This record gives sequence, structure tokens and C-alpha cells, in this order.
Amino acid sequence: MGRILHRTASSIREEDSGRMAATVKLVPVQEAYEDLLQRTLVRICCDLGRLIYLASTRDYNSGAYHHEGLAARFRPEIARKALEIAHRQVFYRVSAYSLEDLVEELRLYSEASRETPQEVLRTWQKLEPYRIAVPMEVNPVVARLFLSNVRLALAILRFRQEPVPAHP
Amino acid sequence: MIGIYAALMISFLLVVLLLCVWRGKAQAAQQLPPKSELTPREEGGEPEACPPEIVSRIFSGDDWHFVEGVRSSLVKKLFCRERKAVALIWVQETSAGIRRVMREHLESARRSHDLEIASEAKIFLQYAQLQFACGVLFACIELVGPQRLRGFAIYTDALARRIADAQLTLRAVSVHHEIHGADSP
Repeated sequence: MGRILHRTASSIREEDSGRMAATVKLVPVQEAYEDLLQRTLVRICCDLGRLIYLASTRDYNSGAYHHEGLAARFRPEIARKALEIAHRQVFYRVSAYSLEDLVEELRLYSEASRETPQEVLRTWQKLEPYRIAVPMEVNPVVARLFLSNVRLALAILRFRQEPVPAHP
Repeated sequence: MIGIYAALMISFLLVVLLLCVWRGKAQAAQQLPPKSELTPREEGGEPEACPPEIVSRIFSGDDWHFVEGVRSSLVKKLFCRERKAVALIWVQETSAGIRRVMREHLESARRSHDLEIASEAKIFLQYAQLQFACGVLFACIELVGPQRLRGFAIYTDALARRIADAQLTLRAVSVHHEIHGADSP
């Protein structure tokens, strides 16, 4: 029991020193950004999903980004900056999508969700959670285009889900 | 006689155009989201420019063709309303942005000791041209919708960028002069 306790304490010390070393080490934001892309964002099925994920790493009150793993591997400020850059990049990419591509993105996103696609679309139309996906300090025209396009994509997908009226 | 008719016709067209601009602005004011709905902007901070590919997307006809294929009158109506509102916001932001640039330019021109009349006149003409283009775009978006105005919007955007770039160059030159002026005994 004592040996287990000793081993646990030493492994914790090793972990702590590793974390300290990572904190002290000055790593460029680019490296943290690449890490975020390779480890986390690549696993998300579509750009819209990546956008929602990145927006969810931002604190509602302070607007600061936080990612536990990234902050542990790099410094918290570097992780914050990498998340902010990634968020802005994905946002501008999604905003420039054609409506057809955005409808496809929304379809993929709704199908990847744990809820049924119908439920996701209904909730998105009602609560408009995509509004929080807009990064701070972006051009207001781009923000407006994004919101408008998501609203349209939702209307198109909901229309497609409606049952076709039977002909007499 | 023909001259009088032509003058009357031109005056009438100008009045119609002015009415359209006024109507467009009034409707845009209704369609525009409240300031709080737009992304907050830092007071005094340099606003981020709208990328050219976004301007191209707003005025693109591809999205309209896609919406036509959906075969829903409700979606079509929603698309027309939404895209028109976004296009009007872009025109409004472009016009406001260039007014900001000109205010800044006038400030630095007042302080400048070596004003070049020719380049000042050129900048003012470009500014007038751009404001006129914005007015025409405002009216035309209302009349024909943004999808048929892509070329004109891209031209207006390029003109706005040219003026902003010219002002940036002038600012850099005046800063250079100030530094060298301060250095000299």
C-alpha cells in the first residue's frame, strides 16, 4: 500500500514537472495551432461542427478561449491564441461557403449529432445557437452573411424534410 | 425642342433615382438588424475589412440558382429578403468606412505642409465616385436585387480598397516626414 502511495506520488511529481516544463517552454502559436488541428479538429466531421466546437471553448462572460489539453501541452496564452485563430479561420471559411455547400454541412452536422436530425434542425431554428459561433471583432457584414446563410440552410433542410403531399 | 425634352427626361430620371435611393435607405433601415445584433466593435478600433470573396458571395447568382431548384416559394422569399438585407448592410458599411477614411485624410491634409493639389483632387474625385456608386447600388439592390449587380459591387469594392490603400500610403509618408522632421536639428 505504501509502495503504491509512493509510486503515485512520484508519478504525480513527474507529471507536474512535465507540465511545468511545457509551461516554461516558449512554443510558437503555430505549433499549438497545428496540434489543435491534428489532435482535435480533424476528428470533427465537418467545418460547421468545428466552428461550433471552437465557439464552445470560449467563455461566455470573458470571451477568453480555454482548452484543457492544449493549455497543458503549451502555455494557456498560446493555447488561447491558437484557439482564437482557428475559430476565426473556420468562421471565415464557413461564411464564404455557397448556400448549397452550407446546406450539406448542416446536414452532416445534424446527422452526426446524438439527437435526430429533425430535432437538431427544430432546436436550431427556435434557439438560434449558431449566433454564438460568431467570433469577436469580425467584420459585421461577414457576421450578418453567416447568420443569414445558416437561417436559409435551416429553412431549406426543414422544407426537404416535409412529407411530399400525396396526389389524388 | 429636343434639348428641352432630353433635359426633362434626364431630370425625371434623376428624381426617380433619388426617390429610389431614399426609399432604399428607409427600407434598409427597417431591414437592418439593431446595432446590438451585429458583432460588437471596439470603440476607436480599426474595423476589419470585408474580404473580396465575401463581397463576391453576397452578390453571386449561384445561391439564387440553388434556391430556385428547391422549389419553395417561402424559401425563395426568405432568400430575397435576407440577401437584400446583407447587400444593403455591405453598401452601408462600405460608404461609412470610406467616410471614416476621408475624415482621417482631411485631418492629416490639414496638418500637412506640402499638399499636392492634383493628388488631393484625385482622391476627392474617387471619393465622390465611390459615394455615387454606393447610392446607385442602394437603389439598384432595391429594384433588381443583389444577384444582377455582382460586377458593379466588385468594382465598388475595388474602388473603396484603392482609396483606403492611398490613405494608408499617405499616412505612412506623413509619419516618415514627421520622424525625419523631428530628427533634423
